[in-house]
Amino acid sequence: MKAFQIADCRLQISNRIRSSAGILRFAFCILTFAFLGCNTLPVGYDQLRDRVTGASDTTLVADSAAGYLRYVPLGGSSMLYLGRDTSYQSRVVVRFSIPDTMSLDSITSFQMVLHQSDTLARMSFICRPCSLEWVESGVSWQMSDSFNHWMNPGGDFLPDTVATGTIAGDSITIDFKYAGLDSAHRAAIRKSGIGIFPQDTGIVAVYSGAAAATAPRLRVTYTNKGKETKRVISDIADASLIDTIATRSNPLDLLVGSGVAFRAWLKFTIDSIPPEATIARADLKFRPETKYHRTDTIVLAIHRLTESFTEKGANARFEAVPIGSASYFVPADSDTVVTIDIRSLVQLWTSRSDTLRNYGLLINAAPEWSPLFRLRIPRSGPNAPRLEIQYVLPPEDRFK
Amino acid sequence: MKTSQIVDCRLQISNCLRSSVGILRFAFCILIFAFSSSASAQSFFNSRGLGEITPAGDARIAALAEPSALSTLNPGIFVNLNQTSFSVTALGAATVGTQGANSRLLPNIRPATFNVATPLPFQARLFAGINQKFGQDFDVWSESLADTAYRRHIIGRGGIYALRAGLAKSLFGKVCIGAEYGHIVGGSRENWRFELEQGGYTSTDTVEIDYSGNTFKVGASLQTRIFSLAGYYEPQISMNVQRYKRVHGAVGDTTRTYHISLPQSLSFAGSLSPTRRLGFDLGLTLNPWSGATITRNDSVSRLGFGNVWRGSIGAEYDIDSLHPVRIGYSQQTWYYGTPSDQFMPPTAIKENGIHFGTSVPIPKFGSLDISGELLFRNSYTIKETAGRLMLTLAYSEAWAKRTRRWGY
Repeated sequence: MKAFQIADCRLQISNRIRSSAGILRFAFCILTFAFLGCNTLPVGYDQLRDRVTGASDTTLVADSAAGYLRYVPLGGSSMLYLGRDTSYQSRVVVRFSIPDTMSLDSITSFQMVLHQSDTLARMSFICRPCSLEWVESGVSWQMSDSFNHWMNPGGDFLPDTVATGTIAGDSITIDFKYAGLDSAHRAAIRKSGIGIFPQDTGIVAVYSGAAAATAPRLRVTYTNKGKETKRVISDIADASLIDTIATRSNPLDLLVGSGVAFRAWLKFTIDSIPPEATIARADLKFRPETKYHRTDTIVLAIHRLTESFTEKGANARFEAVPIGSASYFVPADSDTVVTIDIRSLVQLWTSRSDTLRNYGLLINAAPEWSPLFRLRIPRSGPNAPRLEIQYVLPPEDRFK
Repeated sequence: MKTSQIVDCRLQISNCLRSSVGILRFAFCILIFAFSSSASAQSFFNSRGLGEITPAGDARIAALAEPSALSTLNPGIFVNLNQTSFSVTALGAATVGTQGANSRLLPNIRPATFNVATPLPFQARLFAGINQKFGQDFDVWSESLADTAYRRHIIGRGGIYALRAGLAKSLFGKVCIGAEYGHIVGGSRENWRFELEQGGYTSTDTVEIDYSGNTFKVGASLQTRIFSLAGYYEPQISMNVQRYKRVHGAVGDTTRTYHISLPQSLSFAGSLSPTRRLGFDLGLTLNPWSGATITRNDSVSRLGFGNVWRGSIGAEYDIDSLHPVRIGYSQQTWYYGTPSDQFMPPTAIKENGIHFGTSVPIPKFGSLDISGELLFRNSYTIKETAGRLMLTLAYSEAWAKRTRRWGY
């Protein structure tokens, strides 16, 4: 009986060893198959040799290029710029809607509150009433709205200073000497708003009305039925009016900048790419030279022109929605290359050349009210814009 | 003692029934899995021609090296059909391709065939089925050379199927003749992808091909206890082919229409059973397809296929009345070869196969036939080893032992 038990035990051990070896062998097989199944080695590709038409790489340089500047409307931006330096000067215009229930003569206190983003910045300024109405969506250094010019570039204002102040820290409250103003000044403020003029060198950024919490606002105290009433009124329109001395820079320079919008137009001839090609990659590359910057991260955008630049010049229209964009970090060294993916645009040009003509592309700041900067793009040489394209042709038919 | 024997006997019967239910459940699961899978048998050679000629799709025949004239592909095989029967087959395959120092595995599982046959009065038989005629599944990556950072990845999926129906007449209990009409349908979809330098893919082109056509087949067989002879003849396979090429980037589709005509196919087979437990079979299929043509815009040209044959030899031995073992060997040359280039002429694709299998009876149902195949394919540059596991669940109205009875 004992011998039988020992034999049985031996048999069990032998079976277990056999089973362990079996499991190991099975695991090895599974791993081998997993390795073979997961890899992407080029087995069998030569069977398609006569069907593959290949891929091509090509690098194009711009055969036409031009630059221009535009005093673009800067209303509706999230920041307002106030200041002046060797390259730019910027004013701010704001307008409030003062309800009719507030009799002008009943206002006893009239204070404006501004918030700034950089709490370390400091700027003295004066306020003057605007003498001409303006429209937020169209106002710029030169235009009071989309159709009318200011009488004086930079805006039309009454000559009298109605308030002074220095912005420092995160906000400032400016007290208007409202009681001492005559009715014409009061009416101008109410109708056309206030212009804020920098007095120091440097540029500060003030929050616009885009964010309710930090919007420019009025704190008005007035007497209503013999009772003193206080009211806070947010602005209904604001804009920066920016000018630059860079308008006098070399007209052959290709500049891209914000505030005063500098735009660069480039045209690449892509006729060599077959219309049936699929564009796998199309990168616009250039290495710009930073001429001016108030931020280290600069965003550039590419737009498709919908009209001929050679015919319409700076008035040529372009698609509002950018085709591509890229962030350019103002470099510590000069090796930073801007690379913007415009694959979809090149694909449209090649495959729909009959309906979407290649009028070229426009490089501009995104958005054009972003912190002031100006880049110069070389026209020629190794840093000049080049379009690197990789395209793939469709395969041949299975049956020939 | 007698009581104990009875209890033991009952226990065995109960176990047996439980095991039958288990087998059925297992087979059912495999079949459901196979039918829910969209992949099918892949080969690194399938990107050319019409693709691989797919096997008959019957595990019993596959285990005997696939003498297709003895399978349900022969409309004249139904000599002894006493009950309505059907069979459904699932196929699992793994293909390892080796080229140079590189190896890659393409595994997959798919449904293979469905066949049904029923006896009619006057010894006539009505039958129908669906099976794949050509498989066009492949999956290849391009090489990544030093001067090309990109890679291509091309995935082909699809095949050409035949929906078959026919009539057969059994004569004298030993002979059967039959004719079959087949409607050919199918399609393939090739997705050409391009790997971007930055990572990820862009799908550049999709080539879709739809096939449709008709075919006709006649067959006959003579079956005795000692020997069987069978053969069928398919005069022509004629297909209309419509190709859609979608170039994704260019948003431009192009369509072309072809007409493909494959000349006749012939298949013969014979079997010999010297004893009740042992049998041998031989099979020969001829595909003289060098005359295959393609017509485009009234312009007819040859497809460049070859005249090829496939031979097989198999044996079956019954260990006992319920457990047969089968083994076979096959050899063939594919009807198309590898492409030529400036250094190398087109090379034929040679295939040698080892086949084996058995059957498990399922009481009150039919049987589960199992086959395994190892196929060794060689061309000048690629060596391919394909392993195929086929399961056929065969149902008969009344269970009967299936041994060396061709058809059902």
